[in-house]
Amino acid sequence: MKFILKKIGTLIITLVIISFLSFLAFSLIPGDAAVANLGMDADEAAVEALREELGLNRPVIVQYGDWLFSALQGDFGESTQYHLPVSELVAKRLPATITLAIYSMIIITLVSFPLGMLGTKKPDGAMDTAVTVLSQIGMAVPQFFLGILLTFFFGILLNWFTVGGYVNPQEDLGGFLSFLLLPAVAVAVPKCATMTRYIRNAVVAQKKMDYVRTARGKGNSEKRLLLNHVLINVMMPVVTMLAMMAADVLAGSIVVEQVFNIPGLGRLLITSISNRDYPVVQAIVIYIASTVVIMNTLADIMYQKLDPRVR
Amino acid sequence: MPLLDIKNLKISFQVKKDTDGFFTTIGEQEVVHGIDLYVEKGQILGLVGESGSGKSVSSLSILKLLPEDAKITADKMEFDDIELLSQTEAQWQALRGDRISMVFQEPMTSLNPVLTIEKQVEEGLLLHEEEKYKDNKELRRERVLAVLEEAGLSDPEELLKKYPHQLSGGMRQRVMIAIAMINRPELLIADEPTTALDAATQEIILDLLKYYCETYKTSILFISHDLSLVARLCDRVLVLKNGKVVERGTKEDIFYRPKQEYTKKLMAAATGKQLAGVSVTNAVPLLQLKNATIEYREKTFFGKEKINTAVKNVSFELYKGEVLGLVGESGSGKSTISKALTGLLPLTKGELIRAEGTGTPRMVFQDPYGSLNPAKKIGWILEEPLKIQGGYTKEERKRLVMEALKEVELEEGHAKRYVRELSGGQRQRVAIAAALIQKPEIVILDEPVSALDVTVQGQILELLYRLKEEHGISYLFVSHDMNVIRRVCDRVIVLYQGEIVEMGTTTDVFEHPEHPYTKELLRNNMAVH
Repeated sequence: MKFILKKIGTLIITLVIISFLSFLAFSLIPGDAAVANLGMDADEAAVEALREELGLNRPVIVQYGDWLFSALQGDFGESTQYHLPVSELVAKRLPATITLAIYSMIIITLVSFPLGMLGTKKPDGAMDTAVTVLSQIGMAVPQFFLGILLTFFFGILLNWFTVGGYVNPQEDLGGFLSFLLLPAVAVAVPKCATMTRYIRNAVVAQKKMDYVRTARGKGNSEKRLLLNHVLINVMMPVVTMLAMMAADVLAGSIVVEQVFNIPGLGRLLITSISNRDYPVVQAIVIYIASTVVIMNTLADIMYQKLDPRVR
Repeated sequence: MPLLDIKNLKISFQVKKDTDGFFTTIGEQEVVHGIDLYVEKGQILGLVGESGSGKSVSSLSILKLLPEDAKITADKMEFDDIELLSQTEAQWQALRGDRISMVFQEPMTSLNPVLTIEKQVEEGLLLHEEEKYKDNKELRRERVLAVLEEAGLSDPEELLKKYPHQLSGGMRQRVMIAIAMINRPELLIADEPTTALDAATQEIILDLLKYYCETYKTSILFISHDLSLVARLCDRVLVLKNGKVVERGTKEDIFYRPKQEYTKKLMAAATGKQLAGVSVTNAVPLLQLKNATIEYREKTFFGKEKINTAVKNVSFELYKGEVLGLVGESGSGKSTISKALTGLLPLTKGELIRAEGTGTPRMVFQDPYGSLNPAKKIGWILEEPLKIQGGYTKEERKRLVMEALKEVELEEGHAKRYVRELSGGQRQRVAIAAALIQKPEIVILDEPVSALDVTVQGQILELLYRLKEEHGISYLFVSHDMNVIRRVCDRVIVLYQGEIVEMGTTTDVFEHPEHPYTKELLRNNMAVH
């Protein structure tokens, strides 16, 4: 418990530092909200007046404090391109991104564990080599290409879904879920491949340990050996890896969202960057940083639960 | 009718070649060339040999615990009338841990690090008597507690929820034995079960094995490289070399009437040839430790400090050209003192005085594989301290590296090799060369031969002796092995729980020990003479 509280303390400090650094970075970039609002050709005096009004002339640290105070209350400012509250914009995009992430994580877990263990009975045997080749292919295929392939086969040839026909979850939850399946596959495949390889190597390494020989000597079958002894030891590095992947997909799969025309965070990020919509970019950067830090904290806590040696 | 009867056992491994990640078998290498052995009911058979003699491989083959590519053939391999080699995998599983059990050398790595002791001990019950124990937790726990207590663990309740890393080495090995004995096997195979333990614990484990043999008529196949252990435990002995039986006979035959040269050599190595012999007359010590106390401070979460006194009020001197032995079991403060002498650890109280012109002592560790950088070539490893020290040209450094290699009887070609490409003995030679390259006055040898088998041990000890004679180096020789200490040391310090309990010339300490702990150490170590 103490450990968990300590971890959460570290997490909060990390988030404050990250948000300050990103705030600082945006305040250093030339061109601010006043210029963005009034346009490049606006009257210098008008821009200065707006600056004064928006409080942009105050020291960065005061502006940051102001921003942090509102952010804690859920107010991340207003988007300069849509003239809508940032929180509302992000909240609208989040369901698609999070659902896509959960979907992909489920696929990654369901596929990579069995596949990773499949070849380990005989390392470098035929099955192991087949799994290795398969995972190499999975790692090598770029996501956008996979997305195009999936769209072509299932959307155009088989006509199983409407290409680019995103369904709003509030209107049709079932349609929304089935639409996101293929994008989730596109996100998951390269990560599955990496994970499969990772699990395979971890199992092979663990199987060479002395305690496995002891377990065999007790009369364990290969299956029991794997489930009762090896798997729990394999889980420790794997949990960390899974958490890093989860953070990665939660941050928004920019390419896949683009290919499948999903209105998620990744797409919002791209349009906001190209329109210099800094309040939105700032909010998304903090969202991404938070997911990474939170996921890593979760991994640490899980690791500590799994491994008695670090307790 | 023997319980285990093996005739003409041959074991070979496939030799594989790695071509771009794809392995092709290019041949077979036979490592055991036709061994005959039998174990009678209630008897203890000792299998003695150095590493590479095939003793471990042979014993693992009895439970078919060898890697998949091992090929085992025998004219006969019978256990209680069961022909082992024609068993199916399921039949093997039924035998393992039930009728034949095994105890391994390294109890730390042989136990699953993330499962509780209770889980690991009770597993044997669940695997072999599932109907009886599956739904009866009380009965299971009762058996687990009984078997732990029988293995000499005084507070078994306390242990149930603990993990292997929370136990001492001796306790872990008792847990291993409890695991092996829980189903009262007819045959127990013990593969170097005491090698990783200190002398006092070794003795306790041997007594425990004897107890099982007498109480349950358990037959034991005891594998060791240490003849003195085998002499005390076994009824009959088989001496193995390079996968063949060199000599066999009763314990008395082997120890008092050995016929083969090799057996005599093993005996000599176990008892030791005297290499010491410098009398200390020089008045000025190179190194003096005065009333040293060393404490470790641990901070608990609430900021309270826990003080752990590792060394208490220790004083001694090290003179030029002498070999000073530091003896004690693990936890006695040996390593703490070594670290303090090299400046890695500050003294809490007391003084460390080095004579003028005496540099920092260099160290040689027990496990050269772990203490040499695996990613670098030997030449680089040897050159590094010279680079740090500075003041040498590239050519000078190269020359010094070559000289150092020659000094430890390695060849120039070894400079281009990696640590993993060397044998254990060669690695230790590299570690010695690395310690000597800066021409130190004092070298601390921390269990320098404990990980090596007896013949290599002998070679390394002789090398150390020669280097000392030629360069006038002083050694602080840290070891738990009294045989080795007696062979090489001029004076001995006996440490017990961080304090010096006895100090004197080797002859005095070994022939007229005064402290009960010293007597105990000697009794455990010197049984064969």
